[in-house]
Amino acid sequence: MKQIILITDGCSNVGINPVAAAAHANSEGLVVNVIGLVDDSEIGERGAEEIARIAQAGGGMSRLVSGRQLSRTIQMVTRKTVAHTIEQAVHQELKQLFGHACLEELPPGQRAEVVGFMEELGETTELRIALLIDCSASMKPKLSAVREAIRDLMLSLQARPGRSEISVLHFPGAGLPDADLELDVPWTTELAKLDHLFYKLNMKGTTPTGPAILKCVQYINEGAADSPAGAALFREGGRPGGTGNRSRSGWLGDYVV
Amino acid sequence: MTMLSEVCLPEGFVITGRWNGHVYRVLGLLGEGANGKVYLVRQGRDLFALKMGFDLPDLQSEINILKSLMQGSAEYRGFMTDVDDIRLGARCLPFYVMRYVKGLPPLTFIRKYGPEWFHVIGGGLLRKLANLHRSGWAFCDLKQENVLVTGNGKVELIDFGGLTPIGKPVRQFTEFSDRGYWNAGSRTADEGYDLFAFAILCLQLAAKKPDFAQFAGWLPQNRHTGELVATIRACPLLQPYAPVLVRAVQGAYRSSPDALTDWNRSFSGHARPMPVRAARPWLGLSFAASLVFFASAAYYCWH
Repeated sequence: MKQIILITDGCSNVGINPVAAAAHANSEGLVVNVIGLVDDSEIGERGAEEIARIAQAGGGMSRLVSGRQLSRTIQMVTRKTVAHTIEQAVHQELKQLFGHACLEELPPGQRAEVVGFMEELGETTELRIALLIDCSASMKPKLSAVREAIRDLMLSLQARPGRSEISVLHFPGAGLPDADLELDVPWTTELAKLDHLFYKLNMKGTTPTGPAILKCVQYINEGAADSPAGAALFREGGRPGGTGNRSRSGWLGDYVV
Repeated sequence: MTMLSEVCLPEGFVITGRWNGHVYRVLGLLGEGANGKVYLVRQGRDLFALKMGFDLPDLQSEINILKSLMQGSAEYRGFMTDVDDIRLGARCLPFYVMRYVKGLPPLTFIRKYGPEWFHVIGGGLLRKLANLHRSGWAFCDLKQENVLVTGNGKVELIDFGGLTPIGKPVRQFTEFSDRGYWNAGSRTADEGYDLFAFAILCLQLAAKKPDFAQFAGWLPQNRHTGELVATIRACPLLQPYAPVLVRAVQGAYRSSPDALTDWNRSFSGHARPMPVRAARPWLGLSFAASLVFFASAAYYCWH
């Protein structure tokens, strides 16, 4: 099961519409969840709406929280996404077995059995979560909360019986002038890999949320390779002038850690 | 789903179970958890606590766990008395009914009846935890809100939403009591996980309020067991228990009965009012006094 959790504090301002990018991610089998961080700065009506729409298009959920609630929210969102995906699959089965897709309609005894099965599935299913972090200048004071929350998520995932990996990516990239995304931590199951996140960041003002989501989908589904679907989207909806000279390895070439 | 979590049954509301048909009258709201609300209800003459969930799979998995706890532990046989749904308009909400415990949260109890109850409450809690552990469960979400102390100092655990088979990932936790949050270990349910939360709870019960408020502001890099150990040692009420609590925080206990044994020992040590040497002249004096009494009694008897 693959999820993207986007953590941002405002509106995208460069490149493809992030809602379209999230829809693309969802069509590629990923769920996109969005958490808006609202500490000191107001996220604004436009920002809040964008966050809700990205999540909706990405088949996930969105929450607006402060830094203190971040850890809890990330874990809740992760857990609910797994549960929801399994619920949907189980509902399909129920429909075939009983002609209705509603757990509520089952008598308590059968319900207990189905839920026990769902839970087992939820714990043992393989999980890959890409954390996509907005590192535009306004996020700077919030990054310690983000780092803490990522560590905490890993700690919870480590207790799962099923294999669980996370990776951390941030945008905009610091390397090339047009780098939309940078990989901080490739797929890992270890806490120690997360210790030096975001210490050496060169923060910029732009927020290329849409292009970052597309790149993230590529990373999750194909590693470093460009997906044809993603590339096509780039060409159609990419930002003016910026997409032509992208090198294939540019955004993955420069690890921050 | 947000709508469902705002559902609040008013006092006097009558709940009729959809499958079993039992009728309960709502007397009031007892508390609100992460995944549901708990009401005080009356069925005939008996009082019960009724937990209503917002999310069916969530509550059902709690019910499943309670069922296996009831089968595996004599202490909890008969804990849950009914499982059913309530119809509210077009929706159906699941609920279960459990025994109602009347009592006070531990801190309120100690403030009301005095710190000498601290030992009894701590020991009672450890006994409860040890019983659960023996049946293969960890309580996990151990905190003030999930403990009640009844009139004679008996301790009851009340919210089993965190109950997890030992060895599985902790189902529900509260940051401040969580071993992982303090960089002190994994988030896998085991005896040590509960003992860690027990030590934090003791700290919360014993520390003065201003001392305690500062913990919440501790930065992640300062959150390690060393800080907790220092705070435990600095707390006067915890003095006799410091060795037990420090070991609990450091994850040094293999099992909760060991912690309970140490806890009880620390009390008998604490109860000794004076060091042995200082007690000697006092002993001699009282011995002399008793001799005098004996002599005078004997004198009266003879005459």
